[in-house]
Amino acid sequence: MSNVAVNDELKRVPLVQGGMSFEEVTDLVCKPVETKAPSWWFIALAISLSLLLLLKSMLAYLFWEGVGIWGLNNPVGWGYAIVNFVFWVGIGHAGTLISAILFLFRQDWRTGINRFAEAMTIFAVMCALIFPGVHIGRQWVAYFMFPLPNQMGMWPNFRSPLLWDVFAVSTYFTVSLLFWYVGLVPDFATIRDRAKTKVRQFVYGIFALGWRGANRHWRNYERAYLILAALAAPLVLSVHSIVSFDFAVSQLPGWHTTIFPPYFVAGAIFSGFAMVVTLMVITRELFGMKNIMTLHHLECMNKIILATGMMVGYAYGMEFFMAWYSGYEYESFAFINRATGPYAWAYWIMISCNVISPQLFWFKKFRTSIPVMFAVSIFVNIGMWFERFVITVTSLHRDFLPSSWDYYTPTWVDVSTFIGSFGLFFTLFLLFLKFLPMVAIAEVKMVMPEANPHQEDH
Amino acid sequence: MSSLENKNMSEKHYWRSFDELEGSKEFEKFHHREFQEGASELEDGVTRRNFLKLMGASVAFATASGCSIRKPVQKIRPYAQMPEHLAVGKAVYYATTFVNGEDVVGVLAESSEGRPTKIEGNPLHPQSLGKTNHFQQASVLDLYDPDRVQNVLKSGKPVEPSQRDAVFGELRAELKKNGGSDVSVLMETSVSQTDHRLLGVLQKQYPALSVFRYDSVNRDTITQGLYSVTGKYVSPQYDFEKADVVVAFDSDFLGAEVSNVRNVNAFAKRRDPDESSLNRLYAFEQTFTVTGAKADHRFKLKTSEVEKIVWKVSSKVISALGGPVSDDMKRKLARAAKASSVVEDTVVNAIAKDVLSSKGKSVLLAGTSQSESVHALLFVVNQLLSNNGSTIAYPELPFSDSSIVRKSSLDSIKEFASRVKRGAVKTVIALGGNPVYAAPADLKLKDVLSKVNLVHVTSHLNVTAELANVVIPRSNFLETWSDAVSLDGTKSIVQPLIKRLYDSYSDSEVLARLLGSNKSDYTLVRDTFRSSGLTSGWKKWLHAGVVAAGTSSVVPSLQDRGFISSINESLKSASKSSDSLEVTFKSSYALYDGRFSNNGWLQELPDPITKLTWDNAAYVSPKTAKSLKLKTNDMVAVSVNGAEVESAVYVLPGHAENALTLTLGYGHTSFGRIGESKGFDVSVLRTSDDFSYAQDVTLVKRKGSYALATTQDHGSMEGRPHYREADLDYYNDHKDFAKHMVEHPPLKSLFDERPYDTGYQWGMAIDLSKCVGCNACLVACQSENNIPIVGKKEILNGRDMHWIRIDRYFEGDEDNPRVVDQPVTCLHCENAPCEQVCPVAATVHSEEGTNDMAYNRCIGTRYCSDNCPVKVRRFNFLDYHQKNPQSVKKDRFHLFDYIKEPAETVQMQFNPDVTVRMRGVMEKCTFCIQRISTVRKQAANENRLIEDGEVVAACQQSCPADAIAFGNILDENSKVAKLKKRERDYHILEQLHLKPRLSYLASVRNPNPTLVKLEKKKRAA
Repeated sequence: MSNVAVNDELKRVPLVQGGMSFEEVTDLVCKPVETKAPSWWFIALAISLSLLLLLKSMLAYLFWEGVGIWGLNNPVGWGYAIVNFVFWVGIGHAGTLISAILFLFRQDWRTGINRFAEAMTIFAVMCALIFPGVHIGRQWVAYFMFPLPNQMGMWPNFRSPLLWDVFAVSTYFTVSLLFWYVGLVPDFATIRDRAKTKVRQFVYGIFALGWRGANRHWRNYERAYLILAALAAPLVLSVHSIVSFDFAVSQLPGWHTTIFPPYFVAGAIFSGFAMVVTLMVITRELFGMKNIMTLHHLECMNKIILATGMMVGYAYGMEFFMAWYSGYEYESFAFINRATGPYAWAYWIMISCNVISPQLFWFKKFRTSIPVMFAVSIFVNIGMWFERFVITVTSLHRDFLPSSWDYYTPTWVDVSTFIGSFGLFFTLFLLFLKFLPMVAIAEVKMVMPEANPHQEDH
Repeated sequence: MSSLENKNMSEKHYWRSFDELEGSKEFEKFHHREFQEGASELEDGVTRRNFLKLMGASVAFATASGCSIRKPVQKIRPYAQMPEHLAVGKAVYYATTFVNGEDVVGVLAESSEGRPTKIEGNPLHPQSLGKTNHFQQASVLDLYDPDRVQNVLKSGKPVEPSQRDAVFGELRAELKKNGGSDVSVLMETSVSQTDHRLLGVLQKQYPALSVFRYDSVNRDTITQGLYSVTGKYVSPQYDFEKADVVVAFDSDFLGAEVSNVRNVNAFAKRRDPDESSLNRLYAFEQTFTVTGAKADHRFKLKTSEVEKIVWKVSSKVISALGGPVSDDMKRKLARAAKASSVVEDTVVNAIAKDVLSSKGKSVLLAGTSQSESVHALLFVVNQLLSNNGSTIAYPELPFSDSSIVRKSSLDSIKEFASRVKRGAVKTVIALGGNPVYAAPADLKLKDVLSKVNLVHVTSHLNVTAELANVVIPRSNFLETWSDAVSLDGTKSIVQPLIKRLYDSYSDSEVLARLLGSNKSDYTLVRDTFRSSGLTSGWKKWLHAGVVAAGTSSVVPSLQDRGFISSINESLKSASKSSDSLEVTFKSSYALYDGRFSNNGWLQELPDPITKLTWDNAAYVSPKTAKSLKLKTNDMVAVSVNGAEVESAVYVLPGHAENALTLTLGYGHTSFGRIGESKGFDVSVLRTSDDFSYAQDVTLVKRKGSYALATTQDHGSMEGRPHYREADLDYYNDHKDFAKHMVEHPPLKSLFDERPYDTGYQWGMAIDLSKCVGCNACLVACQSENNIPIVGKKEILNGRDMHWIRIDRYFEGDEDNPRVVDQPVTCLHCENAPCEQVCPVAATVHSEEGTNDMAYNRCIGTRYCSDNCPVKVRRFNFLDYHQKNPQSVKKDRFHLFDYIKEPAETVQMQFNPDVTVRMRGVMEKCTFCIQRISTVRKQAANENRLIEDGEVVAACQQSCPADAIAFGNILDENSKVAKLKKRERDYHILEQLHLKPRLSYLASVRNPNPTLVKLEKKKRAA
């Protein structure tokens, strides 16, 4: 990391602005951890905790009463739960992409935001993991899905994409968590060393794993980080591909398409980046991190949003083309029904949010305007939720036999559970902002000019 | 060996081993001890150490079992005295008889460990021939209804057992006053000889006692109409198997009308184009019925206009064949026929030509809503066509020597009302029925009966029971001894399957108590048999269920008993044809006259045409709805004759214009937890003058809407080839047309395909040509497989649980569509899409080719259902057995045990061979795997293979049309294998390469070529 290209620096805007020194960076990042949280933080936490409580009560009600409290019916066997699952998993793509893939591609600008994005990933995947576990009819036997030795001598069914899902998402979560933690170790040590209370010193000390900043430590650390990044990179692509198999491997018109894996991955990155932008715009303002999480960062992300948005739009178009080109009436019907059927409203919300709104980012003026990017990122989040809704529900509600067609309406429990999942997400996120360094201090320092011992060279 | 034993073994000595033979000491020791050493006693006596060890262990186990979340073991007690012929786990069948109004159907009731659990048809009974309809299938649930009246009630309070005789004593005292003139008996039509015998005795003993009869759904117009033309009380019995042409004038002989099981059975025999020459059915009706849906030509007409088409057709036939009608009448008929233009003359000519060319092989029949003169006229027409005696027999109406039977229901109830109003009666004994609810509104029976001492014998606390001073519980037929005579004269025995559950009385017992006799219904029936000379053969009759089949070849001769004048009168009144809005009252397909209101299976039975459950509605045509700015679920006020009823609207394609149809039997304010406040009580509009239909109706849209729960929202097939059919002409040229309706590329499976070429391979074939969509299979399946009802709200949520459903599609013009019915259940695909996606392998394929569900393994991801192309999988979203309003709180065994369970009696109905599924589990058709298993065991015990026809699925068993075949498809001689070889056999969605075990035989219709040409010409123009 230390061999940052010096000649680039002359042309490029510095990644950390405001002429900050190493010490200033450390002070800035550690400040929220070491000082009393601002009052807005407590208010936000209180709101998040109430939403979390809502989630918990909805789940308790669900366990007690059964999935009948949701709006599911006979043709529509999957509804909000699966939509939310795919939505959250999708959001959970940005972090690992930013930390692993951009790391491997030596995109140094990632250092300002990777910690933040990774945290978001972990929390989003945690939110996602709730849903497949609770959406089943008998939650108390969910463990049947794992290949555990049992007296029945039964394995799960390895042909089922749902099982692949179990492995894909849990692997992704584990690797993401490890990756995040490994990156945190030097920063834990920093906080431990700066600690003014015994408790803080002790707790952070435990997580710092005895880090002393020795040469060997750094060597092992960088090796581990590289290996984990290499491991995580394919997972970024695989996890949403496999999530898409839930649909693509079935034979339902509207689900059964080969375009799904790349389309889902692009969509996931799209939504994940939008969520990072949403959160970052607020956080950098509130914590005064504008010099580390710079406008440049945001602009880069907006470019990716624009690119992936175009990919998603292309996929929407290609789906229609294939539906027509296949000459298969059931397939054609599924797509005509999407755009003109009872759920056309959802389809057009999706199109306007996902395809139309990111087009603003063709213009630098909008790409660098905080209010515009904030609005667009919110639209993209809404649009991507609706994309999953459109795929899941509109394909199911009118399938092969018209006799079984029906309409799905979510109940208040469906909606409350979804809102409640944001409670979990924001609770974890707020705790992260307060108790962990939200920027990778060590990594940011590496990309600062001061980190280059040869900066006077050329 | 003890000496005592030695003594007993004096003569022959059986030895068990060489040791014994040799009398070794070791053996003696072994023989003395029952168990091995150490097994039956503690070693070294009871030491302190052992005692503590055992006690510690028991305390530990007791504690462990105490906190266990598992339910404690429930006790199963053995029989102290084993009943004869009973093998636990093996069902026994008894013959009995189900009576509904005048419909008498012999049935076999399955008894599982002494509990009747399922009803099947009695093959020996001519009204059943082994088949049933939905009423018989559902009747077993009525027995176990926990809302039944369980005690004799006086002023609403239960009467002590010791005081019950006193209640009857008081009634007897009333009877004794003034020779019984203070007392009236109001009963439903009874088909029991015992009841009629006892009534006769009662009337002899109390000559002044008045007896009345009332059925809100009855066949009096037919009986009286035929009397006017023959001078005899007869009932027409049709043999549709012999009929080439059937013309149904407002008659639902395949659906709601009496003898429908036998009618469907005979009719369907002529709908198989490969085995018989197809018959042709014309139907004229206002609302869509099962019959209209099956018709080759259906014409929609207001009920009042059906008479005119009868005149048109009759006029053509009479003028062609001459006959016994006067010239004056002929002229009048011809004039009336000309005056009306309800159906074009070209069409009438074609029908008349068809009928005339099949003399002696046609049937013209009309429904009960039509006037007496229509039935009389059709008798004449059938006589001219020589149908009488050939396709129609006229046996004498059972008990027609009784004045109660001879008088029509309407006349009887009117007389009853006026008599009570006059104050001539002090005590009224309402034997069965629900007169306050069902009687014509103008008689105001509620006010009338509230002034008398009303005694009501009823199974449920209905509105009549609310008015009653004394309520006597009425026994279910499955706990009653009785006898029954069907309309064709077949005599059968009603045999109980179970000791009565409550302190209830059968009708004959009530009548006997009035006579001062305490005889049981068994003795009463035996007395009846003895008195009519039937002495020997009781056991044989009891076993067969049938005493004597009716002799049905009576053809009465034409005799004018007023039919000429009644036709004249009708013709006169016809001149003032009205264009007003008209309302027709129809009995409910599911609840009949309302008597089955508390039966959950029937409440949730989708109407064959509208697929409506739990409610009735006002049916109107799309055009009428448009002109009145109505749509389905709107509320309207229907008013006629000064009375008004609010109802929800259902827009029914194919309904006649400017008319609406209301269904009777709903809207009970008091009945039971299932039946109360479901739908709308429309009987308020029904008066004795406008009993079948009323004119000059006004319809006003009301604010607000109502949620009608249907099981099928979408009626169009969207041009998809799921239901395949062809006209006979086309079929004769293209026998394999069904196989060529879908073209697809060569199919290949991702996975290795199993050959399934050994052992039994189960398959099913459903003949769409035969199926009439009657729903018998649906209830049979529900009863066999412990399928819960879900309630109206859950139907609205789209969560019905029926394992087999009848898909109904409309075809053609919205104003005059055709209806097709397709039963759909699990296809048991060899390449099952559901199996591949289940993450826990809870749904897997058996060696015998069935797609099985391991309920215990299912975690409920619903992925299988999402991937099922026919969506036949049913998910138990909320533990519907628990959610049933009749469910009770369970005994609490542990901390979290707050759940409910079905009432104790309802649990008795459950089929012990089928798992009762809990919430969160996917379920679906199993091809009645429990029945396969029972037969397989039996065959294995007898060391033979299962023969064709031994395994009968519940749906197949009940199907009156014999449209379902099931068996081993590898057995070339099996019925199902033969059917699957037919050229019209096809698979739905074959492009998915499902290789389903359920295939369909395409429907073949037989429209009149002349009419087809006419229609084509019209369309071209």
